[in-house]
Amino acid sequence: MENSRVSHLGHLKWCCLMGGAALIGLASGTALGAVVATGLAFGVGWLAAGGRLLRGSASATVTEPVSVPAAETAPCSSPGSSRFTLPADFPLWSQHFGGQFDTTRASVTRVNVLVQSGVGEIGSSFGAIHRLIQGQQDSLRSVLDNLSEGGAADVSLHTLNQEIARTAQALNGFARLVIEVSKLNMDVYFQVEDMAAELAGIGKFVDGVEWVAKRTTLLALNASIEAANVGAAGRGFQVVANEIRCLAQRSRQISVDIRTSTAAVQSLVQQTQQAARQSASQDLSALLGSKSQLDSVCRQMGVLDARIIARMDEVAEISSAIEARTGATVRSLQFEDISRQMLDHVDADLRALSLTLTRLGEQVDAAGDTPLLQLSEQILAEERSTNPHLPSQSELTAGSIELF
Amino acid sequence: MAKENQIVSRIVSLAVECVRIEPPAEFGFAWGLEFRRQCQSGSADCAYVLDLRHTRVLDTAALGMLRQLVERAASDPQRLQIIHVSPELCELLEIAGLKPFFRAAER
Repeated sequence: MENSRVSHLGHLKWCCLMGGAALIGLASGTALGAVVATGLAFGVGWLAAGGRLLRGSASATVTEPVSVPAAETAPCSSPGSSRFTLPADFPLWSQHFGGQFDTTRASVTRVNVLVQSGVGEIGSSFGAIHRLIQGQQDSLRSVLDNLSEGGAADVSLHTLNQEIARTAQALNGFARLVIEVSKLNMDVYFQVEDMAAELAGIGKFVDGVEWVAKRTTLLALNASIEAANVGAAGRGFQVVANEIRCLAQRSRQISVDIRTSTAAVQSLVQQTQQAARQSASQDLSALLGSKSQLDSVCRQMGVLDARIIARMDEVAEISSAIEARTGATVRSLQFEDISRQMLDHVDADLRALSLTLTRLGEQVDAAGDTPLLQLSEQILAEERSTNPHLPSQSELTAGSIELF
Repeated sequence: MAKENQIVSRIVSLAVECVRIEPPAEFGFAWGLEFRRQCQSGSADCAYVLDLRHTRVLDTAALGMLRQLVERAASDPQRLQIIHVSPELCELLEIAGLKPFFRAAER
């Protein structure tokens, strides 16, 4: 009776230990820890309490503490030291704790399902986020390519800048062409000016010729007068004087013609000079303004280009960082598989303990002289052999995941 | 600045004969004959100092005349010195492609 009381007290103590372990597990923040700690405490408690239970035979419930002799309460630590007999109410006791095991296993299963479902949902969400970020990165990359190289659209800030630079170069070339034409026009102007000077020289020569013609006419007139004074003897001389006068008149007519032609040439020279002036003398301020505007646009485009590319680079870096973090999170979620297998292992352990309890009741009579603790360890080992390996990974760090 | 110009003129004049050309405020076609006269006043291998202290406007005729001056000086920058040139005119000379032919001392 005393032994029975002691065993029930031991049972209560181990139940308290089990509860404490569960609380420790919960305090550690994980349902898995609570379940594992509960299961282990339960198993250990069963083994330790079971050793005492086998000593008694009563099934009464003890509600008050009873003094126990030291020899009776000593733990059964040495297998084979004594032969134990099961108490009469062992089947009820076994059924009761078997039910507790089943309840715990159901809790483990629920936790497993909840963790699996939650992590699956999170993993799915992160996977979607990962795909969205990749799409965003592709879009950004496409935008960057278009900005820097033009891509398929063949339009980019870079090409626009090149076009503007080419336009500025063309404008420079046009300005130099205009100046070259002006230089040629100035050459023409100076040459025409020289020609005008030469024409002025011709005019002076014509003046000389006219003077000679006038003097010759006067001379012919005087000769005619002298010939008339001589009479018939001077008739021949009269003819010569008339011819000289005709030549002088002809010479004067030629001078007039030359002067007329020279005047016409001078008029043409003046027109040429005017044309050269109009052609050579152009205001370049409009061209200079256009060139300045182009230069300004070029500079602004360059600044804009640099700013956009810098911002795009920043966005791309942020996207890459988000992608890396998302990838790390998704990798971390893969450890859910380890946790689930650990829960499966706990479930299997609990099942093994439950089966051990049942088989212990069935096989204890047939065991002969085999010590009860040894028998229970033997049955437990047999049950555990179906689930020999528990994953050892305990940290959610990046790297290889232990497969089992 | 005037002292500097004197120094420049003196340095140039030490080497060869130097012709100083000082165009008016509006350097253009109308000043063409005078420009040619001043240019032709020197020998064939003389140096030129173009003083733009008064000049505010250069039209294409003036640039054409400067182009002639460059040819006359055989495109030798050692024979062509430009002084008192404003930034605007300097830019105009740059656009005209004449700046490389002149040793410039900006205003």
